[in-house]
Amino acid sequence: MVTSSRRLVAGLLAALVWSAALRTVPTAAGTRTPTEYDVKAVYLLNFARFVEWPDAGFATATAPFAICVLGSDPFGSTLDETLAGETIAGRNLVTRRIAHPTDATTCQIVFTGASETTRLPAIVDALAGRPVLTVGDETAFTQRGGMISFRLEQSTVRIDVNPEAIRRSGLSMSSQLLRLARIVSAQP
Amino acid sequence: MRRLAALSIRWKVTLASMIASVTVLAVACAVFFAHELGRARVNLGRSLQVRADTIGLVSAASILFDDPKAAGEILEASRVDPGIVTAAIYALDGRPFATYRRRASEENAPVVALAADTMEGRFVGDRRLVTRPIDFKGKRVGFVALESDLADLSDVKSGFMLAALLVLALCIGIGWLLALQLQRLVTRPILALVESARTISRDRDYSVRVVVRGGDEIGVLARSFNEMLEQVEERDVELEAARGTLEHRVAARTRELQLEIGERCQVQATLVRQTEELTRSNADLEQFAYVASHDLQEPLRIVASYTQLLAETHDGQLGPDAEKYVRYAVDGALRMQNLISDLLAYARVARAPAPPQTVASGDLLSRALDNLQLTIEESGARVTHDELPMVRCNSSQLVQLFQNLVGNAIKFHGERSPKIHVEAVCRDGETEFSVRDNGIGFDSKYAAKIFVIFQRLHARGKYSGTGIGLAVCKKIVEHHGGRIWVESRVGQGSTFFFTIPQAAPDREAKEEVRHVGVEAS
Ligand SMILES: Nc1ncnc2c1ncn2[C@@H]1O[C@H](COP(=O)(O)OP(=O)(O)OP(=O)(O)O)[C@@H](O)[C@H]1O
Ligand SMILES: [Mg+2]
Repeated sequence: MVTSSRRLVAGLLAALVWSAALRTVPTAAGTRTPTEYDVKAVYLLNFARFVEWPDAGFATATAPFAICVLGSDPFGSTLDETLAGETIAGRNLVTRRIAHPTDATTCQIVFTGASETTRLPAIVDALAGRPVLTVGDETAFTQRGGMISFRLEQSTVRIDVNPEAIRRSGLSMSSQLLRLARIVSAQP
Repeated sequence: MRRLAALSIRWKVTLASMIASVTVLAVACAVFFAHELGRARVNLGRSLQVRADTIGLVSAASILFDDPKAAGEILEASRVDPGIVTAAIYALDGRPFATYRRRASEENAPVVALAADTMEGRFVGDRRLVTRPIDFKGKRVGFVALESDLADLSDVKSGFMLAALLVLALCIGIGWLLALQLQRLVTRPILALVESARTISRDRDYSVRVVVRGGDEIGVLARSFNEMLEQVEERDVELEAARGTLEHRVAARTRELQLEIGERCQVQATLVRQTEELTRSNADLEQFAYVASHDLQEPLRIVASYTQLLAETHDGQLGPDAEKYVRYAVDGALRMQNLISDLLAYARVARAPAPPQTVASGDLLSRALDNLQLTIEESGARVTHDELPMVRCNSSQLVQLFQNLVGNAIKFHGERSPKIHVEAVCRDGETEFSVRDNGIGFDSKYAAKIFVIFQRLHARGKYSGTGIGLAVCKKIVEHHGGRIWVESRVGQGSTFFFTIPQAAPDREAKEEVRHVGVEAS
């Protein structure tokens, strides 16, 4: 059993070196303990993989896949580091910091931090009917018409999903992701 | 084994075909079973792989969103498959992300270890391990490992076993029925052959024929059998014919033999009659000789007495011629008296007046020599003898015998004065006497002749005698049941032998009866 475990470790180390997903996975073997926003940055990238965007959502066939942060940025450099070199369906990933909800129309994913709570209705209105995935850092975001919101559950990052809002936007979310999420509907 | 040998060919053929078909079937079943098992293993591996892939596909999100609970739920769905005993999802760093255990007693560790050990599925003991990578959108996100306890496989096994047993049982049943029917193809002609053979050996009826079916070996056998029967039948007919001929010939030969026997009987009867006639005529002759000699004695004695008286009383008175004639007459008369007395002696032998008694033969010889005393003295003969045994005989006849033989031995002497020796040896139940002389002897070709009456070898002028002496000897010896013969050479002397059987009372008794009978007739 001991030898098997050793072989296992060696094999896994090789796999880690090889894998491009290295930075996206929180790792006990790593020197750095992942912070909450490390996790959230990875989740943003994962959302891009579990949600499908219509081609109409992009300006051109080669237009990059844009992940935008609205208002104040809680990620620091983490987001850029996480997304660097990644592609989604052949498109390059880019991060943008935007100040106004209207700027979000050219984004594929918009992250709104806690600072934007007051502007939430405006954001929802601005993006209504557009294929832009809205992700809020606040749990109530989905109840107010947002599509996905983060939630901390015993210091583990969990997600809430408002399928109705996603459906209305013309996006489709993988059932796998839906299964992991807590389903929430907008409060009137 | 011996019991199997005694089994009817019907059962042997049935058994043989059964054994063959069941063996083939069993082999086929085994091969099929092995093949099915292999396929089941492959299928199991493949379905395990598919299941692992499905789990991987479904659980990618839970890994990516770090949700072991959701992953655990996905693994939990494996419970629908009773073969899966443990399952695990691993993060890329090898951390067990979620695990599943069918039973609480199952350990997860082996899954982990072996999952990393090999990416391929393999069988370990009675378990099969499958490890598959979890890829999502071209990125590896983790691994899934499944461990099956091959319950499905053992299900397949037992299912197949049952099916095989059923098929085997069914096939044995059908095969038995078929073999029972089909064996008749082979055995019916053989059994028919056997039945015919039995009938033939029981009834000895060789006209039976076997029905020949087909041209196979049995057909050939049946045909050969029929041919053999034909030959036997032919031979029977020939034998019968030969027997008829033989009987005929035997009957013919029997008839011939009967005829021959009849003839021989007749011949024998004739012989017997002739013998009887001969015996009677012999007896008649002896009777005649005796009576004649006896009755002739009286007139001859008168003739002899008176011629002698004439010669004495008229001595010198008759003329010289007359005297010569009278002398001749006296000689003739005396010779005739001798002749008659000898003839009487000869004839008397058979009449045997005295019964035989046991006496010392030496005494008998002495009596004979006493009788010959004058002759011995005249001739200066020397008569010697060895010790002589006791013999059972008619003593007066034996005295006569010795007297005749010694008399001849003295009479027929040459220049030398006669020497006579008498001895006796006992051998083969009889006593053999011999009387040896040193006389003139004779040619041995006359050895038989001299025993015949009146047969003489020497001229009467030189040696007187009538030629009856030896005939009397022969008669006396034969009367005693013995033999007499002579060995002689001219000038070398002669030896006369005779035998007297030692005591044979019954024979003597018979002889007596016979002589009484003869005398009576
Ligand atoms: N011992 C002898 N040696 C030589 N010749 C013999 C002798 N005994 C007999 N013979 C021959 O056999 C013949 C027959 O003998 P057998 O005694 O019968 O007659 P026999 O002596 O001549 O007459 P018989 O004895 O009657 O007076 C004689 O004549 C003689 O020739
Ligand atoms: Mg004589």
